[in-house]
Amino acid sequence: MQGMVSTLRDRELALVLVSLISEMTDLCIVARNEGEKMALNDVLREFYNAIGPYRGSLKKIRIPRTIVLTDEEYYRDWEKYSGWRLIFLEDSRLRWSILDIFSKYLREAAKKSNTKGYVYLDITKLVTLIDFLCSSVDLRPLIVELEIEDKKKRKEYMEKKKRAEERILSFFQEKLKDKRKAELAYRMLLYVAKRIYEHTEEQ
Amino acid sequence: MMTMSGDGHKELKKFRQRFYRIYEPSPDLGKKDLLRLFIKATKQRRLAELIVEFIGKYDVNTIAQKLRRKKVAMSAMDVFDILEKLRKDGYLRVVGTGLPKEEIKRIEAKRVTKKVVEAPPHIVEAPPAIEAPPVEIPGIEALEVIPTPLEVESPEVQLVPIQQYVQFRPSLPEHLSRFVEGVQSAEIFERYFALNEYVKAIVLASREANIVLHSLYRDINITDTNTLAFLATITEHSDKATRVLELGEFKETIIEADLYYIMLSRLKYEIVLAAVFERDIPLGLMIRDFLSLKKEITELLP
Repeated sequence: MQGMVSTLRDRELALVLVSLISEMTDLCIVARNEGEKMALNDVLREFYNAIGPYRGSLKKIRIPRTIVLTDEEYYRDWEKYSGWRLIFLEDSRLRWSILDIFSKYLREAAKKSNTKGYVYLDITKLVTLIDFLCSSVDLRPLIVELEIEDKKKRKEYMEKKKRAEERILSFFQEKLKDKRKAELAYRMLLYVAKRIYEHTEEQ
Repeated sequence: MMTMSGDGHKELKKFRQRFYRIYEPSPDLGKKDLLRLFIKATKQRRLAELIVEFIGKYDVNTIAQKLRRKKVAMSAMDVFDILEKLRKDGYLRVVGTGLPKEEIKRIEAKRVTKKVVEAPPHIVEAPPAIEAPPVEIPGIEALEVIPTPLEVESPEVQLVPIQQYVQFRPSLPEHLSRFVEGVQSAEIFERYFALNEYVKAIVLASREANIVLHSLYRDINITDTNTLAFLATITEHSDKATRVLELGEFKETIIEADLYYIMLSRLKYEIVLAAVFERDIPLGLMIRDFLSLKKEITELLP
């Protein structure tokens, strides 16, 4: 984990991993140089190895195909990648709470030795749990903000929503045995669910 | 400033790619937050509302065209500047690119050729059926394979008849020759013709070499020879006037005629940029587009 975080910054690594879990379309990751490209290819290899045995059982999450290019390689033929979802490492500065939490988790994991296996184990758990919830629970009320004019009904709706949030959070806490990981999983769940619904609507 | 030597080609491709970028806001931003951000960045509520509506769906070029149709005068360069600033501040990211017009044409042409070339079914024997293997996510070793683009959405560009005169071009100094190549391959003139229906001609000339470097005309009876003569005279007089009257450096001149406006400006290396607009064009729109055009061209100068 330390090696990875020294070539790629924790936030960049977080952006790539979050994209692998949440984006349903094929990814083109643009690194700034050869060093970053090599490090990313290592990360991807490990990610695909870790997630491989569970890939067949995922019902809603589609692990995308990925290509890593350097800045130079990408701009030379950028027209070829129209239609791909682009991930520029420089976009890791995005103000996104999921990136904040995930990068903090990776930073802390990098401080300890021999944590790489645990990180991929956590990611695999995260993916399978999120996929389970996406395929078995209707999460639409949690991701779509309903506009209810009646104050009483609105209050009831908000309370219901809060209870649902608490139930999901406690489910994640029970499975992941960590409050911060549960928080990350919850936020990821909402994002992934949103992407899945968007994807379904597009089709 | 972009240098056209060395990795000039890459820089040029990068320059062109910016107009096809599709931006997406941070998932944490709600529609209201986004609107607030864009109002702050553009200082115009109507413009902000429209950009919020288009962002994530269209590329920079298409957004600029759609804004035009909604009577909001913005060039692709203006849209790019706004979006890129918010990207640098961490509110937006680039998630894809649209497809350039000639790429769409190339793909369509390929499809047509394929149809024409295909032999009638009674001549060609069908190959034995092969059972398709299950779709697998490729391992890292298969990552170098470049598949065809997933979706091709044609940008809503109105095609306009454009005349381009092929001209005799004496050998140019290398820096100018690379610059002209850059302007041509970035299709800057074409983009402005598509964006602004009032544009009738755009000419880039070198006073130093005394030639027209690149020109594009639409429904107007002007030739490069006429243009060159008038550009040399006007810029010289404008330059002289600003010097004699001590007005500072000459930047732009606007000429108003019965039928047209002509706007011209002097760039580095004694290069002159001129554009002819129809008389009906709102002045603000003309100045905005001309300055955007000038900005884009200046970026390509060595």
